[in-house]
Amino acid sequence: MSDRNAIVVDDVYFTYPDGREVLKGISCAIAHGERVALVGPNGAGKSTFMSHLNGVLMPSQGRVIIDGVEITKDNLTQIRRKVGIVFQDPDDQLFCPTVFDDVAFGPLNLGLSRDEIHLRVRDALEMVGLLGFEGRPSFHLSFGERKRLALATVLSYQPEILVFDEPSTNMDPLSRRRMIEWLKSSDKTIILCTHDLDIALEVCYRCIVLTDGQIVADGPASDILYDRKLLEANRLELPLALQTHELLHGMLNIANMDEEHRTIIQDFLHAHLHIHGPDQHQHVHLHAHEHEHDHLHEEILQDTHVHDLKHDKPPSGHTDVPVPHSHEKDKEKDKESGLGGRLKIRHKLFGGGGGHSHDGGFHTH
Amino acid sequence: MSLEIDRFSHVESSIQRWDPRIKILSLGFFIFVAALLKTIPVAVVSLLIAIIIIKITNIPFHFVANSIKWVIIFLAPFFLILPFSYPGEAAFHFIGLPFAWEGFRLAIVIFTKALAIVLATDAIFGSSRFDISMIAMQRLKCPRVIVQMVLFTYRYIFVFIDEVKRMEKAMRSKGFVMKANMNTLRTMGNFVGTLLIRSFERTERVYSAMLSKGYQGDLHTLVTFEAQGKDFVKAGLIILLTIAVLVTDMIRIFHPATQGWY
Repeated sequence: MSDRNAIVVDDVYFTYPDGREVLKGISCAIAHGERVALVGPNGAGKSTFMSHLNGVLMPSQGRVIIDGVEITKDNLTQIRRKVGIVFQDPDDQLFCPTVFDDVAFGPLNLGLSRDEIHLRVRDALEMVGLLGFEGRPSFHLSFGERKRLALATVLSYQPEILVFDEPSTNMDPLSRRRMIEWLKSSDKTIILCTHDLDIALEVCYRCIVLTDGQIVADGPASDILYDRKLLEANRLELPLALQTHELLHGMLNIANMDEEHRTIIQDFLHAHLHIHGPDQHQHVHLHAHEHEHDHLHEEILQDTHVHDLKHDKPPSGHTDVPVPHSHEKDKEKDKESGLGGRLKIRHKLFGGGGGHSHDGGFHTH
Repeated sequence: MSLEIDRFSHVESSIQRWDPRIKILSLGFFIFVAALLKTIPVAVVSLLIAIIIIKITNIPFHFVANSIKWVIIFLAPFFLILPFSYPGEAAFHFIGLPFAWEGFRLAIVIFTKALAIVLATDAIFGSSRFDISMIAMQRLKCPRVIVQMVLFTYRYIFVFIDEVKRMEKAMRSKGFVMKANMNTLRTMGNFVGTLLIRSFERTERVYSAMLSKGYQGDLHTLVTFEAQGKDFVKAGLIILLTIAVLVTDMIRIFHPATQGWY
């Protein structure tokens, strides 16, 4: 593993004083600017792992390297300037009397000048949409506002790496959406420790599955978050968006469905096509069922897929269109049918290469 | 939230404008002296001074009344206990218990002094934002650990109360009714224990969050204080009044030896 990554976790073990071994040989490397989802069931060790990233907890064994510098007790200040953690419960993070004081807490500890602190507080509050709240008591804000404020308190000291513990928990839909949009627009290295696989699907390119203190899967989010078997084996489930998509795909197979309803579903699926995935362009062809798998392949071979129904010609520029199944049997089928796996299906579906845009929400690639 | 002692710190008055450091020193001196008073008339004068000060702060009466309500509830039993327990000449007997005027007078002095002290404390901490008062305490060389403990206690008391309410609601929704029996005692014991554990866990999480933001033991702030001439004039006035009260009490002008606590 290269030490030039933003984060390198090298064979980290951690045991709590009561004897519970929570991390059991974690190793991974995260590049600068990557957005990574760290998912896993309760008690998997996500929060413990997260606390290692800025030295709140130190490994019992192994090492954590941030931007080429191994975390030791002597360089915690330096490390904490680089790694900001947004904790799950904003009340744990907002301990000052006013919004201003909370946001200024980090910059004050950095020893910045008064003007610089005011500037950073202003910028951070503006980023989370809380400008004008400076004089208000933090604990008087709504939960969604407190959650955004918690983010501002970390943004104000401008860390290069942001670690979020359950960023969307208890947020209302609008606040959650704002959080997602902010995450997607950020150019920082971001790690999301979450159970909310939908936010992981939408924000992150990469996903790490942590179970019982060990990494059991690490790869593209478009592989892992579509892998029903893998997720269920680790006490997770498909993101809700994918479940919906799967259900609708299944409904398209109803023989006696009238055209109006079929069109509505196809429109929905088409819209769905464009809103998921970090590039807002991730296709979600799910087919957990045998019949649907076959159906999909028929569509592919005949070029009559939902997407094609909405365009005069197959769109180009879709480079990452996974077929979300990990069934060995299906893969063999793919090979037999000459498609040879996921990538070939993608290209068949969307033509591959180039870019396109249209008024239906596509973005030029 | 009635627990917010500084809810009216933004109200305009000469006490609110007073430099918090000098205010704490001046009124702190007044509180210290009030606690030493031994005679009823002087204690009443100190109470009047405290009432005038709180009046100047423009803090609404109902808000002040709410804070002194608890003091009155706490001190009221003194009027029942002290006359019957204080050693002195029995004026009469009530259900076989000797009633001593000395005890009753002592109860009046304690009650009056306590009210004066609480009102003066309200004037100190109700007329400045609480965190500003704590920073002022820190500038006055109050140990930083104590200042931070008070500050965080104040900050999290509201979170704690919310937690109590949530747990209480959960208990009631599961059919819990408080009764004078072992089950209630056991349940309340669990309730308090759970609260303590939750609070402890929260302190750990808060501390982690503080460490994450570079906390190294000191609370830094952008707040600055600038004492002006009028701040010292106000201080001089309070200190003079307080000394006058103290001297009056010491020479016992109002209570020749024969008049006991008068």
